[in-house]
Amino acid sequence: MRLLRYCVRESGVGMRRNAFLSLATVFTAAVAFFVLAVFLLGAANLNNLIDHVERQVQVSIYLKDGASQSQRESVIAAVDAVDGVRDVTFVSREDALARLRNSFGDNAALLEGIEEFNPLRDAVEVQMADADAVSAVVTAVKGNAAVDEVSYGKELVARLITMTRALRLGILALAGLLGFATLFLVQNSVRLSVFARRDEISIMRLVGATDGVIRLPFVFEGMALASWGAIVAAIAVAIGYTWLTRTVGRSMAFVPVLPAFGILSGMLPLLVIFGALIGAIGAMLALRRWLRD
Amino acid sequence: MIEFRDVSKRYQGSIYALSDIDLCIQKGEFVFVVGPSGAGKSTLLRLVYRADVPTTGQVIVDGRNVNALHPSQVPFLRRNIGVVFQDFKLLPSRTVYENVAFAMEVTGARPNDIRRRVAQVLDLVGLRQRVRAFPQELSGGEQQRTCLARAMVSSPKILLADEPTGNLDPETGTQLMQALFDISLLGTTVVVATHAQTIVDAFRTRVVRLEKGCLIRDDSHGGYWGPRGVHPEAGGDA
Repeated sequence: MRLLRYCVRESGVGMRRNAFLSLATVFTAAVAFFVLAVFLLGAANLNNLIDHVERQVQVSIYLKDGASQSQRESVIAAVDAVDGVRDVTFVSREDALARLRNSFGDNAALLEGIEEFNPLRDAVEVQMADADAVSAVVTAVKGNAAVDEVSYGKELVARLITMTRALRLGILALAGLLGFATLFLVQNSVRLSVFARRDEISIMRLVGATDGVIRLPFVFEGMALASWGAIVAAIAVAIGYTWLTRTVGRSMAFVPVLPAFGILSGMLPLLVIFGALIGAIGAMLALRRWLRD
Repeated sequence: MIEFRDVSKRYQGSIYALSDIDLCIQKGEFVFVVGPSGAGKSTLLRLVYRADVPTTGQVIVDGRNVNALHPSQVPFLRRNIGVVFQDFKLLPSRTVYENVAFAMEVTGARPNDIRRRVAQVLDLVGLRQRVRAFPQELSGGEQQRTCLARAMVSSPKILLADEPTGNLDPETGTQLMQALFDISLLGTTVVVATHAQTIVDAFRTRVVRLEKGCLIRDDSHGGYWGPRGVHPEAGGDA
């Protein structure tokens, strides 16, 4: 307990004595965390956009004329059981015609000729949550006697799936890379602080301090400095993103942007925790050289 | 207290820093290790507090084989060994008091014990009035005495001094050596590496001579082994 108190006190003393270096570390960490946070916000929004696009994917299952209600229900049940399906609606040929008329608006008169012999078919419309699941929907209804045709823009969906997969993989890889870059930057800053106090470390070793006692003040210091960096970055990101969502909301309402409070309240505390963790890891890595026998 | 059994030390790619050393130093002994630069004096001391491990042979300190110690045990070995260096190795941002107290704080000593013991050793080395001074405000002799106080504050069984008078004028050097000698009289084993022959001659005590890593002489001035104080011919001021 005495040693723990000593380590906490020493970390404070260390930061005060190397005030300029500490400030430089906080600043570097803040820049690194800011870049990481901006990237993660961008990634979250891109992911949201991909979800949004995927939700636009619709599969229309046209039923044969004279399909019975039980056949219809069996199609709906089969589709409903598929994972990644958001909504299933039955649209009768009459409803389809009414919808068509609506969409023609003032030009509805053009439809007069066909209204008597409605050429449209009963259909089951499937809204997807996950574009990947389209093929599962197709498989589920394939061979069903009541199904006449399944339409879903095969090529477009295939392209969309490939693109979203690549994008998500890219986001993951870049997030990992940026995480490492942040660790590297913070570790380098802490390393400077450790280097400035290498004499102290060698004397501590000389007088019989255990590695734990030598390490702990630096670990606390690394955690404190990196956390402060993360807090500064979090404040900057919170202000910037809130302004951005307001601006986009006003001038480009059609762009789906994640609401500021929801995403920031989840992400920023994590950023600070991540900061503390990276600070601790950075300090331990930086000390390795000086604690080697 | 300290025993070298057929110890050799070779640094990577270089010649032997120490070669086939057999040496036994008893509790409370005061021993000079002398020899020219590069003779292996510092290496010999470094092996005692395990800053280095021998290439072959064994170093036994207080009954423990130092090279067989697990790294986690090394700090506990060092708590029983005080080390004084030529370049003092004081922390410039800490006062005399803090530099000395530091050695006890990092081992988790009680604050009351630290205060009491630091005051004692600063009295012993005559620095009681300089507790608030920073190293850069001290003379060379005062800095070395601060270093000595730091080495002594944990009441070590062994005190090692590597060229402790190297940065001091002859008079201050002799005073410091006398302080080290007095410490040995209290039961601490003191080993001093030096090439200051005049200071060595001033003390009637055991001298171990190294040359090119080999122990070439081990005598005890007139047959005595152990502390015997200032040589009568060296004058009473030393």
